[in-house]
Amino acid sequence: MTADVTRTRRWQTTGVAALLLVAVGFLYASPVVVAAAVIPVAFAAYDALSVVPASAKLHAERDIGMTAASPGDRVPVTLTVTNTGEATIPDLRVIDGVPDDLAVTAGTPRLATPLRPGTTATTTYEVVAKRGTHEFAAPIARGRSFAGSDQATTTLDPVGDTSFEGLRAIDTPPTKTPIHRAGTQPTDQGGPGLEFHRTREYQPGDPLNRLNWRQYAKTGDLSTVEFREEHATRTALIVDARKQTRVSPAPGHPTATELNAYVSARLHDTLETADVDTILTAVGLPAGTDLTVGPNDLPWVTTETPTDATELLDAVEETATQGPKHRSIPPKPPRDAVFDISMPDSGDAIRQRLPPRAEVVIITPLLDDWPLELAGGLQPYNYPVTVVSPDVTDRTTSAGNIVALHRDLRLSRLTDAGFSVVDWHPETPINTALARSLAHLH
Amino acid sequence: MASQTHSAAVDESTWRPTRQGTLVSVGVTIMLTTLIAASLGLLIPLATAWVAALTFAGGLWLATQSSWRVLAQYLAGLLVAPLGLAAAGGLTYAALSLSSTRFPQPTAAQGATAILSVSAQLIVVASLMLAVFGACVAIADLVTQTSLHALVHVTYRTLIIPVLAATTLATTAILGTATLSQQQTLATLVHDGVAVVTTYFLSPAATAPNLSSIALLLFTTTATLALALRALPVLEVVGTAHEETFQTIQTRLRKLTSVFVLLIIAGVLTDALLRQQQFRAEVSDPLYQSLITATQVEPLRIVLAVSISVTLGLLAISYVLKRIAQASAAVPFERYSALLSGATLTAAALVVATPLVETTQAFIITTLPTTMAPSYQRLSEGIIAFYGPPTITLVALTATLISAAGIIAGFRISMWVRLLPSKTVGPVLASVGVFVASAFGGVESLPGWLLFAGIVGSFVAWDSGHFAWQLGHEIGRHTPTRNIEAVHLAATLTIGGAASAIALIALNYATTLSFIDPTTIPAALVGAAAAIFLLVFALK
Repeated sequence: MTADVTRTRRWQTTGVAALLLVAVGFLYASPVVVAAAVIPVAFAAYDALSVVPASAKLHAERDIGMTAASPGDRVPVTLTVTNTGEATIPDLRVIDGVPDDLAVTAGTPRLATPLRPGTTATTTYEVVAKRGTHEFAAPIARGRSFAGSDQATTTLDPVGDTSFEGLRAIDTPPTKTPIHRAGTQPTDQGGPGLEFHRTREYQPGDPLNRLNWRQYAKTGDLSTVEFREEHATRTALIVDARKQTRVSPAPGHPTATELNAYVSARLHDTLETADVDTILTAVGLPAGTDLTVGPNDLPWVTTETPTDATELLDAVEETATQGPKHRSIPPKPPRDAVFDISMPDSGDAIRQRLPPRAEVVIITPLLDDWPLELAGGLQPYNYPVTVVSPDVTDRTTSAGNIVALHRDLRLSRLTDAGFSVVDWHPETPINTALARSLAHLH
Repeated sequence: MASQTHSAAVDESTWRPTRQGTLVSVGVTIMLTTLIAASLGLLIPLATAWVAALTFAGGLWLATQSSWRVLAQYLAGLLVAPLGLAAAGGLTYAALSLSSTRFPQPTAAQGATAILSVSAQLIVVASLMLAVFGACVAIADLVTQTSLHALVHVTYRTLIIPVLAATTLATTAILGTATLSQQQTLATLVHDGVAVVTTYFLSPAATAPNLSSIALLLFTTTATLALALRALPVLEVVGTAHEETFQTIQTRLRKLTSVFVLLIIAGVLTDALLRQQQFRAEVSDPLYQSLITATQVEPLRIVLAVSISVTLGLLAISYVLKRIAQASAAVPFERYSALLSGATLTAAALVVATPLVETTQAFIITTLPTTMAPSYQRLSEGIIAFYGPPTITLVALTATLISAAGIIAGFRISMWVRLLPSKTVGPVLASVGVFVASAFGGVESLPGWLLFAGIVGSFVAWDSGHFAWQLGHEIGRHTPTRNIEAVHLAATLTIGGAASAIALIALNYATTLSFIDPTTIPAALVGAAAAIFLLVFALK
């Protein structure tokens, strides 16, 4: 390590001060004032003689608490600096090289302390994980003399961890949340099945094993037993990746789009593991996305389509940071009768491709009315809709509180209209949100 | 609020001077200014300095508030008055009280010494004021070019109403009482002027034709009507179906206006020529009388005058409405709330005018040196009798506000020419104030220990404040910095203490050297020599 030593003119006014005292002392014939000129001169000498010790040596060590983290996880980082030289550093300042795109949420990556030989200073802080590999830059250390005008700046070469991996949504292992369904859904139609539905008059061709022999023995009339017909069900996961969702509660935090992708990936895995036929689609992907799209330019992932969930969710995560630059969302409350507003175009495209009797899960941060319009548009077609909403509002500011209030109103509107709603705060474990989401599915 | 993901991942609010260093800087300044003022009997000027400094800091804070802007600007405007009053009043009071105790002197030499002494004390007062200004603004790092710019604009707007009111009252006093000749005052002169104008335009004498005046009235009427048709939303009111008619009317009005311009020229020439006897003789009496009758028509003149007044009024209203409509609703209120501050201050000044002037007058007379008091009293009573207490009070209020504007402008210019740094204004002001106050206090009755403490303290105030700013700038407020600041402060205090001890030893030793002449010159010389030697060494 080679230190870059510079000298600032921090005490340069001492000369003027000394001369002023001498001049005033002479003008007023005051020896005490002239004698006081010794003080600024002493400070000038202090400035001249005080230097950063040349024998100072530093050793740095960084420990990152997790090698891989999911989006939104808090990753603890500890930086330790030891003075391995033989001289005291009276003023040491160290700044760890936190990647620009990570937010520090607790502690501080900076250190300011005097450091005697053999002693150690430590700082611990937390960063919020985002997808991708995050390489930490080398910490920068600056030592100053007692007077503060002599400074040496150097880059440390820390031992220990230098990076951690922010997992992609699809990398996360499937949840162990149990699912209480067998891939079928009872209907109000009579037919073959297990659960008794009704009896009706016998019609030629009815299978013999469904004749109501008991009634025939009592009355002599032929009738046929109908059971509640069961159909194989499908679940459609609709990921909201529109530009409006590419926002985060604070700089460096995952965007709502990233969290949407993360929740969707976990839900998709869980449903697939439970042998539920799952459809995955995303709304708002930019044009030119390298995905196979079907009718209405809609990516549509099923077991039969060439595009798989990994590709689609990767594409969603790729768009997560492509939000509007230098502009925040103007807060708007939910409109009146929002469920009666005609379906948005993208929603209509989804509806046209949805199979009958599919259960719909919309994963959205609810920052605007689009999800409500979609849910309202699907209602007349008897699609059961569940809304899973990661909360990316910042309730620590007045403006953020307004956005949060509007989101709360949207949640209430959905609940009041009979839709199932899961409100997920990223501070709470994702499995809790998943369990609550799955509980709403039949 | 959900925010953009690409914005800087740094909370700018943490990059501020550290609290400990700022506290040390401010604490040292407060302690030393109090001790110096108490030692020199300058506690009242110090108190006024605190009032000025706190109102200055409050004004800066309020002027830059982004919420409740209307109220904040109004309050900032109100605070400008105590700022100017305390700053100018404190210095004036100090000058008066010091002068009254030192003057008159029996000899010219003693008078010169007294002038030097009073100057030194006034410099101490000004320096103490500077120091407390520094202490106040260091707390929240309030002085920036932006905040000064905002406050100076508030001050200018606050000044408008008091200046207008003072000017009006002073003009009224002058017009009402100033005598131009034995029978005529300015008031009668103005009255006569107005009468001449109204007679010329509205009821001219029927002894000669008055073509020029009626031509002027006709021209002004058509010109203002054309302007009004262009400015007012007439077409929107009558409907676009009448657009063609509307444009025809406008064209005709423009043509008429051009014709009336020619008529004015013709009228002026006609009026002038017909007043000459030789031209008058060329015109027959019936024609002359017809010309008089045709140009006399008082009702037409009144109608034209009323039309001009109404049209001008409509134009003014239209202009104001357009300005308001073009601006956002809050902006005019924000912009003009300082005007309301000025109006409030003016009203308050008028309410307290008489008792305030009487009290101030009595105070000044009792405070002034006995040689100056009678002449001041004679002069001031004459002025008060001429203008009246309200005018005097409003002029004083205006002067106070101008003083405040001067202080703010002084800070701005100092920052602009880089006499003051842009980042550590508070500590620098505090340090310079304490230093100069100590130096000039030292030549008066300030004890030696306090002089040395003041000089060391001035360096400590600056060093701690600058160190706090540097730490805040490099490390931020979230990082614990207590240890590093304690070590730095301890080192500075140690050097200051050692330097004071050396200065004390040098003082005592140098004084004992004065064996030829028991004056203080040798000591000063020895001290200066040592100082210069060490300074050169340090600078190398």
